[in-house]
Amino acid sequence: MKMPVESCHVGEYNILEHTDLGEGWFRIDIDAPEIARETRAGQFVQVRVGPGDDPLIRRPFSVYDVGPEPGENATEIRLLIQKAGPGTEALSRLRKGESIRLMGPLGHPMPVPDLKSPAAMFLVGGGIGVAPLYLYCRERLKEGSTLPLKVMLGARRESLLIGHQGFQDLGIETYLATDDGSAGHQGNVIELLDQQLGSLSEGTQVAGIGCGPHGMNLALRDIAVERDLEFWISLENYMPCGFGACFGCVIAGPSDGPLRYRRVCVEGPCFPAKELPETF
Amino acid sequence: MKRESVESASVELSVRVPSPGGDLMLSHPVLPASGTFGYGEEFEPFLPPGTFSAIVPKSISVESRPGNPPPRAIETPSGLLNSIGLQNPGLDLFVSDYLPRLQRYGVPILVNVVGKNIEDYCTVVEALEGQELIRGYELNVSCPNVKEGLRFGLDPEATAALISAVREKTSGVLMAKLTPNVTDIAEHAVAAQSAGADAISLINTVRAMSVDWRQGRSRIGTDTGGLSGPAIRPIALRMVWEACQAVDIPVCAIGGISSAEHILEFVSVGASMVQVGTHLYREPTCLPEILRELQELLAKEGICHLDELRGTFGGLSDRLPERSRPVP
Ligand SMILES: Cc1cc2nc3c(=O)[nH]c(=O)nc-3n(C[C@H](O)[C@H](O)[C@H](O)COP(=O)(O)OP(=O)(O)OC[C@H]3O[C@@H](n4cnc5c(N)ncnc54)[C@H](O)[C@@H]3O)c2cc1C
Ligand SMILES: Cc1cc2nc3c(=O)[nH]c(=O)nc-3n(C[C@H](O)[C@H](O)[C@H](O)COP(=O)(O)O)c2cc1C
Ligand code: FES
Repeated sequence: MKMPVESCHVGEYNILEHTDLGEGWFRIDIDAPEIARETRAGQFVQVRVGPGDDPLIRRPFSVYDVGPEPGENATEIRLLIQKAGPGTEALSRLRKGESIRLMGPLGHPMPVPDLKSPAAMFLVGGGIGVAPLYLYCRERLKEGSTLPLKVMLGARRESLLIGHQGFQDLGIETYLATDDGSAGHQGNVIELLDQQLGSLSEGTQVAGIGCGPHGMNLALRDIAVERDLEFWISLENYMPCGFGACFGCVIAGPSDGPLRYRRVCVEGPCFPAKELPETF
Repeated sequence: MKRESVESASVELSVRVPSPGGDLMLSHPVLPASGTFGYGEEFEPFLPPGTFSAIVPKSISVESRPGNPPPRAIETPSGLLNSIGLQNPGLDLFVSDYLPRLQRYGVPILVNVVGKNIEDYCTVVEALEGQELIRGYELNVSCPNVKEGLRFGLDPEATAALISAVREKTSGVLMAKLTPNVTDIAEHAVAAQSAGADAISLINTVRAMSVDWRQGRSRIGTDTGGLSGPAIRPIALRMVWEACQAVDIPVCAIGGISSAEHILEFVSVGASMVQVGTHLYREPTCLPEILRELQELLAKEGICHLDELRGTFGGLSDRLPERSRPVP
């Protein structure tokens, strides 16, 4: 039988850099060679917020990037975090030279579909959902993949479109959407995706990965199901353990057969959109 | 009574749990709490699951259960509120797919059993009797997230009837897991002992809720759930103390335990064993460190065996004249 988690490291690691990105976002670079080497895009780490009992449970964060480059030589992991409550608030105060308790890597890597040209591979990120997509791009570039990546990022306003420059620096086609039109398309990222899908030439093979707030994920699932697209959606359910022990992070599905709940942490966090229930 | 300290290696942590079929010997007092240890395999990346002195897997029922709708958990101050709803693969799949792996860990297995009625519990126990390393059962008569669990847990007579019926089916260790959601825990502990339980474990989660008033909704998928973690440790300590005064079978303490200090607090009020639950989610590798610390703390106080500490907490009421006893 396949193990829920094959390999996972738990330890105390040194913070190499803390970068304040404004708007409540920050990045922490951590010296964690054994985690960095094994991490693939889409996987996450569980972070202990402090030694005390409040906050109690570890907080999950996608690995945003590994350094100096993905693969065997990686020695550090980088997290992109948005302040959301007491846990992320406390993490925002950690500084270079301090230590942080991590557990990882956890979850499955994001899928890398095999598409026949002409093709388009959409990476759709809303808000903090951008985090795992950057490492995905870095990995594809490193392995010389020919997947035609199109990154689409959405936020309320330009200043909240954090991380988009990174994709542009990698030379990846990047489309932006803001609710107030301060950058890119005025509207949401789903509309942007809709436009792009409409402009593809006949016969283009389409796939995509989406990662964003709940509303965006629901809309993405609907589009994928309606148009029969090969999309995956990365979920951010509340995760008490992150390694399959508590059954606290579940979603229902797939819909055929008797009601079954699957653990997002060990079976996901990325799921084929078609396997997700209408509301999740 | 300060004693000379001893070598920590000479501190003996073993625990004996007598049952009609013979004594169950545990190498130390720390077990995982059911539902927080999955089916063992989830912990393999972190430590050999057999580092625990016995394994208590997640509750098993005759039929497979899908569990409750999400969201199933939310953090509260120093606590975790859950409504998992006893999701489990059911007896048949447990025996074919999960048990062989649990048996590889080489330590005794105490299967946590849950059911809708007495027959259900008996069916599970009968099917598991004689299986290698299954040395007993923890009867979950107390889950707050499903209706039938509470019915057994809240009525001492129903609990006693259940234990007597299961007692007929096994001579292995029968441990009754009690709910804290009762007024008089001692009454329930006594009922379990009289009906033939070899041990009791407590506490299961405390019935609790978390509400988003703006949306007028519960923050979990059910209106109420079960609270675990450090927030409930003082409640557990009080209840374990009360139960230990009422029975003379071994008591297994559960509730917010995460360190050797906590374990010794529970032993001092009378516990023989403990289970670590919610803490395993944040520190799945914690056990070796806890055991080392346990030996060191005892050694420092010159205590060579846990038995010497067990029940040493006397309480004020024994020592004060009646009129000056505090109002409980
Ligand atoms: C697999 C996974 C990957 C994630 N990756 C990132 C990431 O790369 N960067 C990042 O900033 N955040 C990420 N998150 C979300 C992050 O875990 C939460 O923002 C964090 O746990 C909030 O903790 P807190 O104590 O600050 O806030 P809390 O007070 O716990 O919560 C504040 C708000 O955030 C919501 N929340 C709490 N936990 C989660 C959660 N697990 N997922 C979504 N919302 C939550 C709460 O409902 C509440 O509205 C990820 C979550 C998951 C499950
Ligand atoms: C997510 C979760 C699932 C649980 N599932 C079960 C279960 O299936 N059966 C059971 O008897 N107890 C279950 N419990 C209760 C624990 O075994 C334990 O009694 C309780 O959590 C208190 O201990 P703790 O504070 O150390 O977690 C569960 C607890 C949690 C947090
Ligand atoms: S977070 Fe515990 S099973 Fe997924």
